[in-house]
Amino acid sequence: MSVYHLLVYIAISYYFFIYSIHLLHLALGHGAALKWKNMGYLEEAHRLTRSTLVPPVTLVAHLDAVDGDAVQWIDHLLGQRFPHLELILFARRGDERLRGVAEAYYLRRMDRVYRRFLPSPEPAALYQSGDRRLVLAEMEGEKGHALNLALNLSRYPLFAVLDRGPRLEEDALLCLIRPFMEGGSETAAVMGVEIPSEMEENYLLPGGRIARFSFMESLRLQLGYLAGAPYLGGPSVMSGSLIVYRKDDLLRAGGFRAGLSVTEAEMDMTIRLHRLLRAERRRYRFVLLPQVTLRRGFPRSWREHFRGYSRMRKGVAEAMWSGRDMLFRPRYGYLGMVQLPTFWLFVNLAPAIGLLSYAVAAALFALGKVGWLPFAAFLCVSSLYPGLVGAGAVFAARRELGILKGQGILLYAYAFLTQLWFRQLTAVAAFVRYGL
Amino acid sequence: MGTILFYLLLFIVVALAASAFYLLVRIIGIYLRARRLETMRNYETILYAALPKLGPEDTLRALLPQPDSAALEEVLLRMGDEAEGEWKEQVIQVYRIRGYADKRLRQLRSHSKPRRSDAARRLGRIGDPEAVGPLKDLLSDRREEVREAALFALGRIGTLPALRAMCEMLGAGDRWAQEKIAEAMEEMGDECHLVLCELLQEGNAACRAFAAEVAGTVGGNEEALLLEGALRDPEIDVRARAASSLGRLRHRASRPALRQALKDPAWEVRCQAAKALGLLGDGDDALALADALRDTSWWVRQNAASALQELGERGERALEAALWDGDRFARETAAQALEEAGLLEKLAMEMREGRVDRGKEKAVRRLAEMGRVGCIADFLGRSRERAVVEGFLSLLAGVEHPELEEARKRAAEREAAAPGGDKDGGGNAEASAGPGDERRERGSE
Repeated sequence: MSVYHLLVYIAISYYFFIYSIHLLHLALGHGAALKWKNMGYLEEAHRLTRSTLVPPVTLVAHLDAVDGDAVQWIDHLLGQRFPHLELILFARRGDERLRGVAEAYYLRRMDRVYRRFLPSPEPAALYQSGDRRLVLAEMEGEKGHALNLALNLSRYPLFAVLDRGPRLEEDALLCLIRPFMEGGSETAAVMGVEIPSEMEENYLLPGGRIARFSFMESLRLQLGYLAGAPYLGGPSVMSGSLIVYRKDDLLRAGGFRAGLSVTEAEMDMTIRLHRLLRAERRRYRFVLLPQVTLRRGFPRSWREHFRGYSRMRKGVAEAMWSGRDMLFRPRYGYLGMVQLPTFWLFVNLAPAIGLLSYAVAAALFALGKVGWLPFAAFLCVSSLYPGLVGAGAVFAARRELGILKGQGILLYAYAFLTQLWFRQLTAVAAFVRYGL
Repeated sequence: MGTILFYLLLFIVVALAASAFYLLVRIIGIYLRARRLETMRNYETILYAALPKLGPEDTLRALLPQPDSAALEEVLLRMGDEAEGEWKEQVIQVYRIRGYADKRLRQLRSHSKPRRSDAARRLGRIGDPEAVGPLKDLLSDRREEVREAALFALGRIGTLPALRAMCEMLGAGDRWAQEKIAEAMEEMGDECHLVLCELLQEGNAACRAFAAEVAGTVGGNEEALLLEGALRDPEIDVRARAASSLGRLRHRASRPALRQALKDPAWEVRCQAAKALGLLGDGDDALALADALRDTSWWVRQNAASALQELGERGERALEAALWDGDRFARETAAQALEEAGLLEKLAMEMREGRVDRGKEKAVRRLAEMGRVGCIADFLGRSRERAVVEGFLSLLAGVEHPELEEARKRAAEREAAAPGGDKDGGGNAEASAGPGDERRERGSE
């Protein structure tokens, strides 16, 4: 076997290995979905609305992340069926909507006394509603700092970070806090499945090609990785439009890192929580509820898609770098020995390795150094095999989430095509455009 | 070329055959489902019509001699979901006579996890009290789903033995199990008081803490006395929950015990006692709560301040007095509580009505002297009543602060801009409406 063949076979093995692991996560996620279903999550959630035992939750969001009418969005959040919740909102100084929100909710400016658990900047002004359910902080600092200020201001034991102005499904909050109430292992963080806000009617595919492809990618990530990863010591990173944490854990982990966007701060926090909980030798789990919990805007153009992707990649890179000391450390179990190394190789460095693999395989084939069989095998493993994973995620979504019913072959075609070119193109474009 | 064409045609034929097969399977599936629904509807009609007249045995013998077993069980389960009293007993009888109960009880010992879990849920839906024993054993199953199903089933059965069996889960400290037990207690009504009283005197601290918490929702006078006793429990958790429940029960006779709990060594207990006294809303407790403003714990101070807000006039007086307290934390907490209670709006209203409240005036000036001018500056910025603004500014004369200076400057500019304006202070009362004037909390709508 020549060195050229060896190179192609390494590329084939790389893709085969990465997507086999992916398939394993998908299978585990499917098992998790069945488990949650058997435990009657949907049926029992509404009973919690009048319970006094439900832990209260603090919702935190930045007005910048809200598209459209902020007052309507706040109404939607405060109108959630949930025994006790408060909403802490941040707004940039000079944001026109700030005054509108303060007037709409009759917020009163307060010189509020709060505990400073973590270093955080002073808000320029704090407004509060009479029933203390809504707090609006006018900020001059960065968003990462704002999360720590929210931790200082929050009064409740659960802390939910909202991003990208999501609209929650009915009883979503109740479903999300249930894992925190269950015995056994402790729950470090919970998020649910996110779908595009355009999917109003019968959960059919959203309009716009980019939104569709990007939704397929998101499904693969959510159901094909996040749902199953907790069974293999993961997930390495977790970020979404709504993640619920235990405030106590966040404080002991030292709060969110300053100077990062919400996505990056959440990813970084995943690693820090892993480190903290492992160090304290506690049994814990991260949970992705295989249940639609919210709708949010999905990218509608290449520009938006690349921007989101590069933000995600930056977050992954930051988190991986901050958790580099956990690599190959047996004390971190599956996380240190499997999840993090795999993530480094197959996610953090994936665009570079992917681009290199395609370039090498294509060049060797064009130069006649390898025959059509190894090249075809490479194309199959790097494109068709991922297609299978994508189609599996759609299958799981149809079966477990009850969404995307009625578009049959078109749906699977999108799932397949996403893995055939969209993913590769995204990785290449991100590599070329942002050097990631 | 011929070979390629052959394989292409072969592929198309195979794809067509697969599609046709898939469609056939779907059509058969839909047909079978429709038939089953029809059968179930028939069974339901028969059972609803005949069961009250003929009784379970005769109905089955005469009208349903050879039923479709799965369909009949599903119908019975649906009836079990909704049935109550005597009707429920008849449904359970039919379920037993047809042998479903025995079958599901056997399945509770199955090696298969889904089978155990499914059998437990079915027994729960039908509500057969005889299943309590085997279901109780299932509460210690190693699989989470099975334990959850057993808990669900016992909750649905809802008898006293079922509730007692569920209470065995309390030792584990599982919040979800506690939630299910609390739900079952609530649905059971008065019968649960016996179990609640037993739990309050239980040796296990987790059980006592749970009972102390739930008593606040389902308890009555009898439990209130026990809760007062629980305020002296050796466990902090029990004492704290007992204090909280006494507040929720609105048991006014427990005020002395709660005032005593304000001196508890554990801050968790003091904090709940303060909150409870606020819920009871008796002005005589203002002094004790004002003392709690000097507590070393942030939470106790906050709850004491909120409680004082709840006490009305006497509470507010106590908060105003606390503004001159020697303890800085007490002063700041009281200041925040007064701002939240709408001190500025209330004073503005009194100014408008020509009344004078020296206490409030002094309190506002004191707030400014303490440097808490954000609220005042915001109020003055929003208010368009010249008389009120002038009244506030004269009240705050001599207090130096950049935000106040800004407010003074704005007021002067406004004065200059409206030379022929309203000098009598009647002004535009509507335009000055602040949060305290019209309490429309959108969030709580």
